Amino acid sequence: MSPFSRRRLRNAAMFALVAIPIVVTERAFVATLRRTELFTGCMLFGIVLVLSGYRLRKTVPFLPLGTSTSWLQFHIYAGLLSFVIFAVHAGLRVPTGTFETMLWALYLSVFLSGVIGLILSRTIPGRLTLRGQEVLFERIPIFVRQLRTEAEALVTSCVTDMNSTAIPEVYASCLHQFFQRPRNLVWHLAHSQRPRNQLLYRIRETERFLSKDEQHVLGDIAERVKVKDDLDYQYALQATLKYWLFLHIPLTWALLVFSLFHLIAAMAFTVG
Amino acid sequence: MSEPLQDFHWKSSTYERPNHPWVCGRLCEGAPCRPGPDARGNCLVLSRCQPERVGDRYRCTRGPIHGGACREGPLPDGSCCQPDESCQPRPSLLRRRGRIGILFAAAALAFCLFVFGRPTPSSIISPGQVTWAHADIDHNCSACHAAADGGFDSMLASALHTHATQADSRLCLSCHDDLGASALFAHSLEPEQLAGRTLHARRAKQQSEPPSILQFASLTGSSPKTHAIACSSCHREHHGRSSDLKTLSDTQCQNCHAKQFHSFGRGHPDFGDFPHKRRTRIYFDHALHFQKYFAEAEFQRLMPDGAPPSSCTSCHAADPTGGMMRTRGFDQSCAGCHESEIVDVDFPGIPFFALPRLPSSSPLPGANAMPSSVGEWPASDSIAGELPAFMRLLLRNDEMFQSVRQALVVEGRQLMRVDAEHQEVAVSFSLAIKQLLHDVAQNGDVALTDRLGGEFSDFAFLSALIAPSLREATHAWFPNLQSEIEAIAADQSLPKPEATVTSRGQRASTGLGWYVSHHDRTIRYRPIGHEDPLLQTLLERVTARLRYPNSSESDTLWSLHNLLSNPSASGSITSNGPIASGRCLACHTTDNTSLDGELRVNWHARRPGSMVRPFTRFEHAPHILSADGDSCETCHQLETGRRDNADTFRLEFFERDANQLWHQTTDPNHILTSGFQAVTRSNCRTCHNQTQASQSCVECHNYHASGSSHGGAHVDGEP
Repeated sequence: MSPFSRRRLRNAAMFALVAIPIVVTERAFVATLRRTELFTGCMLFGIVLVLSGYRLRKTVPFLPLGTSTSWLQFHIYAGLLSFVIFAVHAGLRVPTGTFETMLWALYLSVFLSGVIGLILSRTIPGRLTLRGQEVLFERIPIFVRQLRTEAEALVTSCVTDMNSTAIPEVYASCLHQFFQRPRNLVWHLAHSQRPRNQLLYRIRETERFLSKDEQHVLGDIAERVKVKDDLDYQYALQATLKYWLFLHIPLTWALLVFSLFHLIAAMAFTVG
Repeated sequence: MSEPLQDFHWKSSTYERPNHPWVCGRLCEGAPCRPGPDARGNCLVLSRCQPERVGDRYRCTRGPIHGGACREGPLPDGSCCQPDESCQPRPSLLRRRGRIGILFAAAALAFCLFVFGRPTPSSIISPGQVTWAHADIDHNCSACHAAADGGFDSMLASALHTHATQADSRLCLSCHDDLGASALFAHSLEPEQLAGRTLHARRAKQQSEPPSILQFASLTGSSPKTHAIACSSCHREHHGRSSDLKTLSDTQCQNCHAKQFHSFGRGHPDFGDFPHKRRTRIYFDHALHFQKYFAEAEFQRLMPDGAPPSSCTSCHAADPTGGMMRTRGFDQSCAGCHESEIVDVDFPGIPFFALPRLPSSSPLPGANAMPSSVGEWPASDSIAGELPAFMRLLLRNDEMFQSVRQALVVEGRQLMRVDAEHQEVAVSFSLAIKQLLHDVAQNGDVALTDRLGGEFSDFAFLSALIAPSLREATHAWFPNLQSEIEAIAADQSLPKPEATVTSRGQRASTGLGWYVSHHDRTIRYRPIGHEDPLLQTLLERVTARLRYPNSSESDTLWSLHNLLSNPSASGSITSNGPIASGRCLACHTTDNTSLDGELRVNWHARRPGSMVRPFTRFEHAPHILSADGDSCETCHQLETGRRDNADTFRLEFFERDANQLWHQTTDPNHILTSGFQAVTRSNCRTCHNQTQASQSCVECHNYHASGSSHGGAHVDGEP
């Protein structure tokens, strides 16, 4: 059994050890006609509050609060536990009240975005090793610029050294835009190389009309097209890893605000 | 191209700080500056400097971190020759994410404050629609929530106030005021009452293990038995228009119970006396009717169209709520066969007045050999029955009559053994009756009312009704009564009767209502039909004055009651059952339910709303599977085996005395009547099991023991 599997088994067992007593105890309290909504609601609010504190952990990395991996594991399983409590609290039904429906949708959005993020964080790193070089996300624009500069230098050399206009025309028509910024992100997310093949096909088609020197230059440009395309692939996947949080975290803040007011209303209107 | 793009050497690769809030504005162009912006988002690039004058020359002062002194140097006028290369730093991903987060939180806060901050709560915060029953107060939060008035401040205060639930429960009761003073206690009973029931329940044998969830729940603490329970503990609102506020799980029901069991099919106590906790108010023997009267041909000739009822629904129909099966009433259910028994003109009516028969030296027929001082006294053919009770009431204060009754031996209406020394007494006996008739002849019903006096004034309504018949009888039987009374008043001897008035050849009247029977010298009343108002009123007033067991003070009333009920209203002492003219109490039972022994005649079958079983209900309508009532027999199975013919009447309703005469019983608390077998749990389990219909507790049981909010679906023993 791999360490990862062992960790997963251990954490799942701990999760079950916490979740099952909560569910059984809640059922027992329901059987005794006690109001459990307030109890489960407060518990859910507390868990969401703790989960939202995961971001704060990153702001104080100097404190000995455990490894980031441990915190992430806690975040994942606490999130799953929150869903169990949510199911117990709200039942498996869509509320009919406007505010409660919004709160219900907010929670599910946060939870599902978290689940999606978890899936992404488990699948994308593996895909990143399939194509291209290992690069930092923040440096990708620099490398794009570097590749663009090199490609443009090659094109310029064709004009100045070989007095050729064929390659500049090809560059201007289909490569200039390609080198400007990351392209074909959706195709890369779909793990498709169709745009890359189309570009290389255009280049190969041009090749037979060129001289040996020009073909050599065009070959260098084609190499940069491949590197740029791989860079785009890296950018698309790494951006996905970063941008899903743009949904998860803001929704969490809104969820906390809604939950707080819901808690006040629930405590005030818990009728007799 | 095989060179790696990324150089990870610590000397040549800069350190990325993705947690910085700002990035260089030229990053998107792929040419960020090395230092990057500061924490406040200011660009740190200083491509230009402020040249310093050294002697007659200007010197570049750009620091090493910004590229050092430029090669070109300052312009001759002392200004910097370099273009401004600073950028506008852009927020990092982290900062942008934070900004969006703040935007979301602010929008959520603004929305919540808008919604919650209003003086009256917005409908947006309603957790859902209320049920149809509460739909008219859907937008009036303060109708149910004390916290709804006063805006967010009040809401916040209520949230921190622990007694809010009880306040809201009281708001519930402002409308649901039919649940009694103990509405918030368990089962709406006072804790003392509940304790009594709990004690009773604890004596029952445990038939199965309780569900495991209840065993676990018992560890969570005691159940609320003695303190108030909030309405919302069971009734959960805001779950939509069509939600059921009475939904409760079996475990929730059993949570507080002393004896817990697994389910209806496993461990539920037997029904015991259900549904027959008491006998029916109207006596009807289904077994006898189905097995004898409806089955044997000799009775069918009496039935309408010569055929028995085709089904149960011929006599029973579900009430509008579908809760109980009501009888269709006398006209539809009984009259076809039994109307003629009530208005039976061949049967003598109920006697209210009868002349006693004086002793005769010679047996009937023939003239009386009465003392001459008696005066005129008509002979009669019949001496059946006693002196009517109503007549005894009229004469109860007549000293002469009472003293004579004690001195004489009276058997029925016959004075026996009037020897010589009692001759005068017999004369006084006859004169007392003559005086009564004379008073009526002179003063009409006023004389009767006076004789009844204040003690029996509730029977005075009979005076005006019987007075015409008494006058008619006086005129026919004692044509010379006036002269006789005058002679007695003058202390003269009575004139010798001119001719004896005999009854031979005169038959009883064949009409209904009051009539004078000349052949037996009685005044009788025949019912004019079902629900005869005179008999109904008379019976009510008699039974209202009776106390059970019989007391000496009410002997006369009991006699009157027996006359109307048992053994025979005809006055016969030989009848062996309540087969009397009128026959009211042959079907209408009399209950002795109150502590002081007061009796009450049941004129009607049980009606919806008479909640005798507060905890149990049964709705017939959903159980009637076919319109013709064929499915009734599934649960209501007739008793098997015919009873002895001698047991004409069921012992729950009538009993026989030592003389084999039938008497009504007054104790309504009898299990199983009407000729049906008891309904058992197995009847219900045929359908109410794990695979078919619901086994839920609330399917058959009410929670609130008091109140009238349960409709008419309660069974208390009526078929």
